[in-house]
Amino acid sequence: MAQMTPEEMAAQKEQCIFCQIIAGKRPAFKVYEDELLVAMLDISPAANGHVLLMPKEHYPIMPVVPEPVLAHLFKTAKGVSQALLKAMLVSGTNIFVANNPAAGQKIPHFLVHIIPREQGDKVDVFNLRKIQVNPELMQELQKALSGNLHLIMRDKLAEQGLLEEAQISEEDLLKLIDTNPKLKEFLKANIDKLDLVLESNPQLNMMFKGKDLVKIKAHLQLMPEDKQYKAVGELLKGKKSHRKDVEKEYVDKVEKEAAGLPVPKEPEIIAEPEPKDYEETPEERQLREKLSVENVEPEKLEKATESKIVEPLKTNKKAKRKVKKELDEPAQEEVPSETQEPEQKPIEKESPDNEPEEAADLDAIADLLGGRK
Amino acid sequence: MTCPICDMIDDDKFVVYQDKLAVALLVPNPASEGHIAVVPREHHAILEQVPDNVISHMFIIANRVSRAVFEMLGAQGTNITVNNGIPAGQASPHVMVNIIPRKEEDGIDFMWIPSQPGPEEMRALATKIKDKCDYIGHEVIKEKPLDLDKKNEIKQAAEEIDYRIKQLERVP
Repeated sequence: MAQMTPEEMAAQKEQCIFCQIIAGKRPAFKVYEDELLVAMLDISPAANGHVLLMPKEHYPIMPVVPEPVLAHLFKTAKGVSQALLKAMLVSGTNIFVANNPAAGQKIPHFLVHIIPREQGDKVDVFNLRKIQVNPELMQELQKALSGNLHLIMRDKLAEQGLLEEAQISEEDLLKLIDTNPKLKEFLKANIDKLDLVLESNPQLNMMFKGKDLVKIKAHLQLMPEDKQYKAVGELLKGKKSHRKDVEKEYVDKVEKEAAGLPVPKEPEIIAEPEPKDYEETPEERQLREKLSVENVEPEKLEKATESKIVEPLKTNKKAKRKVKKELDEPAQEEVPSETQEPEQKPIEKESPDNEPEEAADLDAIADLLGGRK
Repeated sequence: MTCPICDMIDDDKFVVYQDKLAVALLVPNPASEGHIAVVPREHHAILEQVPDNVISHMFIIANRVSRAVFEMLGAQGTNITVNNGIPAGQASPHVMVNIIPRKEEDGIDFMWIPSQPGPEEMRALATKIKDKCDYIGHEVIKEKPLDLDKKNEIKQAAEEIDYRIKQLERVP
């Protein structure tokens, strides 16, 4: 994610064609508008009825859009999709977002494409290609991603009562920083004004609230830059370094400084962050290379493993079905693993229309009233 | 009823995140490494069947996954797509939001061939679509149950009007 200064943002906004349309300086075929959003027809559409739905505020890419706006936007996208099905008499729609030019974004104003589709039209670019991936790589990806997502989604899990506390423990936070090279770089770059940065970013603020910033700073400063990807491998292997002791010393030092006590000079703490006996094993090296995506060559992987993925899945399915029959019970709610959540809670079922009779009554009354007018 | 996605939700092998409403899965035959699908936990065939709150939740997950993919895998961009309906290329009988990590020159191309309809045609289309879009958000109002007092008031009002009209009709 590129960090933009407010001036850059203002300049980009000035030139943004959609901001000009929203400000009323350019004409457009608007089809929907509310306080937050506007939808208009694309002037060079993929198919007739191609709609662009966007927030009125200028956001370059999706990750910087506030979540309440996103929630409202995609609810509306569903509505627009429904409207297109009816208006264009088609039986399908594509909803499409591109973030950054690498993904095909042309104008830096976040927007959602909603494209009506019918059988046999010429818009066949959305069929996803399928590549084979090394099962081991998949496993590593799954581990790394599930660990990270569990931490990133903590507030939502807590909202649903799946976690007792939304706060991340300090150890988990350090783990998150270690497995997330970009975040670490960002924090490191802003290490002097960490407090300010955290205040200005709501999500980071939530994560770092009530944490010992001195300790985190110590952790950041003690990590050499070239160990970024190794950190992921280390975490996956469950290896622990002696970093904790070093951190403790650093914290002691800072506290002593604060108290005005003389600090013993220990330059070797920062000079030798890693324990000497630590060496990268061949397996770890492999793992690290796999995880750094630059090194992944799809073609090679494809040749190496053609059908390995499919088979275990099939057998697994059968086993699952058997178990299901035996138990004669619907499978419910598997709670995210390892650390917490002793109880299993059933899924709450939504019942949107619980008073159909009343609604019908009201409709009838509304008709009556309307008819008299 | 067999849905491969529902089976994958039960099977922990591909799950990278789950809660009460939605699940994020690693796609076994991905479009690129790190391709993730966010699916509703309950089985829904098309997007229009999914309740609004679940949709919002799914896309919030998609957004955070996309952020994680930027940061963890060093992706240069992400695509978020929903193929809704068989003509749109929907491959499974379960709604899914795809998050596809992208790099320059990775061989994926979503660029369609643009057409150039004339202004008259565009205006006609806009009117047609706008008509249907006017209903957006109105379901929300319908969902709110009216309290009984108000309902009775409306009923009374309706009866009163009826009564007066009947009176009028009786006048020779």
